[in-house]
Amino acid sequence: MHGQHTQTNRLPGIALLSHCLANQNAKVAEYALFPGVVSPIVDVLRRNRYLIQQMPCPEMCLLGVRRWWQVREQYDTPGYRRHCRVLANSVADVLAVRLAEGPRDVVLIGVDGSPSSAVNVTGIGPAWGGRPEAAASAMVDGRGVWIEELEAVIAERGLCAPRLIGIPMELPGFSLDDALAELQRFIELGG
Amino acid sequence: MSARDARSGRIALVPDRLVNAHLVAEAEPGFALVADTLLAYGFGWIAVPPPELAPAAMAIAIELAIDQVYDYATNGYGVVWIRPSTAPGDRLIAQQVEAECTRRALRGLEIVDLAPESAERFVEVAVALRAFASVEREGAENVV
Repeated sequence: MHGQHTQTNRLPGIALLSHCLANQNAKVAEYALFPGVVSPIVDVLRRNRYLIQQMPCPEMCLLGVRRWWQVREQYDTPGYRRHCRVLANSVADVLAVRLAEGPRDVVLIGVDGSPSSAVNVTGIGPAWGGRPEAAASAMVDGRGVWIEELEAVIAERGLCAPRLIGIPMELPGFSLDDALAELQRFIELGG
Repeated sequence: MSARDARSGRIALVPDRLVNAHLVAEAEPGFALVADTLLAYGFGWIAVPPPELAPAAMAIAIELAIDQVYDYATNGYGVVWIRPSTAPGDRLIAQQVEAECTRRALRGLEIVDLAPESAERFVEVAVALRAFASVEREGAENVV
């Protein structure tokens, strides 16, 4: 698709899409709400003719598909942040190529509730460390570790800063209809 | 599989043109057919970057992708590689994917070739993906 868009037919936008929104097999056990792609989310991007750039999942790449549930404190380590920066630079490499298409907008779609991919609300648990039911966890305002490192690398490389939105798939009371309406409103703000 | 978990246990390693089939579908409607088949049959995607990426950056991106493929394949998930092979960049991607699979002694990665890209071939690819989806996968069953 590189170079396909002219000034008169400008690419509306690029969506940096959290991995699991296009692959629910990457979720921790019991968190997959769809078989594969979260197609209602992807359909919003398709309808608005956004170019989709699926990002790698840093949790999956590091710990694999059999990993346990984690909280932000477990991922907030120098080693995990270093791992995130390797992945973020790979995302930035692709984004730099995409930006040559001259998009009007760049968005980053995270997953609220996630310890790693949250944009607005992330999962914490200071005592959490073993079996998932053994200690309490909570949701607090803030980014996940992966999103923090990704934003930092994009800024360091001087690339266009994306607008951010989190799909609250890991929060209690998640409503797909509400999330789709919010995503559509968010996309329209970038036009 | 847990009653609370909807994963399919099916993943497709997909070229960028399929991830963005909505942007190329007017010129190549067969891409939309294949992309819609992936959605309809519950495949998760692992996207392969566009062939315009510099070789060194592509090597890292493919290594990350095959890291995930290896983990899925060794945990009972079904992974199919939808292999493009028309452009020079596609051939380089194919070589790098094969090299990463060989390095890990990865077996069991099914391959469906997009080439030769034609209306008939895209229908054949869609049929092959439906057949792949009809096989039960341990990966989805082992989620507790």
